Amino acid sequence: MNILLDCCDRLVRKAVPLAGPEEKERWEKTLESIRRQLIGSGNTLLVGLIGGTGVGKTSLLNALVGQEIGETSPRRPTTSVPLGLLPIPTEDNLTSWLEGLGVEVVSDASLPTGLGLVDLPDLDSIKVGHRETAELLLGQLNGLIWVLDPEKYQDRRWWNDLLPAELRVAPRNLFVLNKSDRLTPSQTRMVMEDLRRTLSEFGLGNQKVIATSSDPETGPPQGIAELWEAIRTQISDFQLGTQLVLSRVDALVAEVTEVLRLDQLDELLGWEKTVMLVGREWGTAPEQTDVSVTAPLDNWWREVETRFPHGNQPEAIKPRELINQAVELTWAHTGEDPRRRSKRKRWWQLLRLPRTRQSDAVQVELFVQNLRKLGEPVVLNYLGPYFQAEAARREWEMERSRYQLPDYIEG
Amino acid sequence: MVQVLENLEHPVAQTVSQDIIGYLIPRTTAVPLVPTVVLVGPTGSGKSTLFNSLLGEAISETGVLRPTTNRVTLLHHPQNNCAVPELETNFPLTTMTREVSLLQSLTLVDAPDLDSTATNHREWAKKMVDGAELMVWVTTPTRYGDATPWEFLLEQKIKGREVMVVINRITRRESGASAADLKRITQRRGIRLSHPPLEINEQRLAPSTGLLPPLAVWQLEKKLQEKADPSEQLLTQVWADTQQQVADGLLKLQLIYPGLRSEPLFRGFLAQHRENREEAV
Repeated sequence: MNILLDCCDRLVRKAVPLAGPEEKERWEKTLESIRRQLIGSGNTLLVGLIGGTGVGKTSLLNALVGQEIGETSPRRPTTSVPLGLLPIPTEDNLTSWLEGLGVEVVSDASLPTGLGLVDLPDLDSIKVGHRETAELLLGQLNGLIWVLDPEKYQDRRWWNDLLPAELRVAPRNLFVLNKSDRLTPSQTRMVMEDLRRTLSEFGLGNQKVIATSSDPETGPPQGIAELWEAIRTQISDFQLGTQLVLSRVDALVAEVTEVLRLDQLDELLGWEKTVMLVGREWGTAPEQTDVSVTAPLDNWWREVETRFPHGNQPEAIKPRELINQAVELTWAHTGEDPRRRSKRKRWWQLLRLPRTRQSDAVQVELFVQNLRKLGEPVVLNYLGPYFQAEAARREWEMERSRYQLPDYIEG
Repeated sequence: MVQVLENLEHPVAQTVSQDIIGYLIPRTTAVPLVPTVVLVGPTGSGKSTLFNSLLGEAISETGVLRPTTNRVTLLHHPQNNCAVPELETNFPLTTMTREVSLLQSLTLVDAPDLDSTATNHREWAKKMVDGAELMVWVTTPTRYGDATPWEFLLEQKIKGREVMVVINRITRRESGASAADLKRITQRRGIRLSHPPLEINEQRLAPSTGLLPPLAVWQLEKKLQEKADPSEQLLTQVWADTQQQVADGLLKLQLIYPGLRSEPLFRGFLAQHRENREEAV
């Protein structure tokens, strides 16, 4: 994951000086949202409880897991050290990664796998340090639960300062009206309506708002089951999102590479000028269909495998075969020879692969040129990090075979 | 003079001109007999409910939607006149008179919140605080640590005025702890409190009127009356303090802008001030 992020990051940074400010902003936003999805670890959804001081973030966390994990008190502000709650078993590195960010990590077996909860310090109190800690962590979470209460739900600090900036990047939000037991049911309805209205003013009309109460002093917690249900939906949503994010990576990379010159790319990614060709055929616009596979990086492999069933191993695919197969496949799908002029829109994606034979590369180049002459759109798509890692492995293999190194010397 | 000050664009000049327009000038045109007390605080802390309960009548609108109060309500006794600073034409001020015993000794103002999404509320509240003798900071156990209203409190510290603090909507668990914690914070930040923070419990409002029971606000009423009592000399004290502050500010500005020394109005004010002080001594 990190290689992927790193590579996108480098790509964007390289392309930024060549692009306009608008594109730059858009790329950075996309990069941030990709980062949000992939950060920390692949499949654990990290959700932060965010809210003003005294709205009951910690007591809500306690109510969610059904035991007292974080300390609550009437003193404001209460929580000063962010508390992270992780399921057992936890994904590798997640605990140490969170601890490195200053989070006190507690493991709890009752938490569903694939979910981590982080109780953040407040963002609006007189303790500036709390704000800094929380803001630092905000950028590292996959989703947020905004905890509001009947007193604080219209604070300027949220709506004007914090919310717009965070929402630009936070892909998953849940809004909770805590302490709803302090209102009568009809009052709760009024406040919820007002809250929804405010949310829709910020373009968040479709967001889920849940009324809860979690103060153990005033009575049994309410609305927790509903909140759990919403969180569970988010977990599955998130795991699907991890797969979808690769398409966003693709789009970003394709867009960035338009700006970069090819030789710059080669230099940046350390590739030789060799290509692998995958023919893709869509009706009118490219759409992402193959999202049924589990690991995001498998996505592309799966596609290659299903489209080119002979080449279970990527190394086994030869460019010339690829061309033939792509042509065949398209032909079979459309009933037309793709080498002939066609009125249907067709995209050809060229994936760069390292170290193919020069003559094969020439073949591919010629094929592309022909396609272009025929007026077929050709999209160059570089799946950098994947192939980069692959390149490093192959290079190492090649070196080893060249110098006849014994097997026990590893890289 | 104010125009000269406003052209200076120096923070001191701004404060001085605020003091002059907001406080001194209104009090020279209509000499008030009783001090003005403003209820301010974060949104949802129950300012309007307190205000209504103190007067025993539902005057200012209350409710659960935030921000609730979007206007300033000023109540005074028909026998007392009140000093209202000059306001823009669209300033939402309602002035009313009631013959309530509390109003015999003070004029009460209900201000909008300090920290909601409605930014102009804050400006209105500020204007009312500038023109009043005593600020009552109404807060809650949830909110007393919020940063935004604290900016307001620190401003009062600069002016050297006392602040009365009320912690409203206290639940059983928070009783005592919030007040002690708040007292500690104010002490550390050098804010002068007129009393230790007053606590008012969260309780059911009277269904027909929406008021707190008289017993709940009894203590606050007593403290306010004590504070506004002529023997406390709140009115004269704040008047003298503000004049002193304006004089200090002008002297400071003269050091920064030497051209001001020849300004006749400045010289006049400072000479007058000096005379007054010598008289007092």
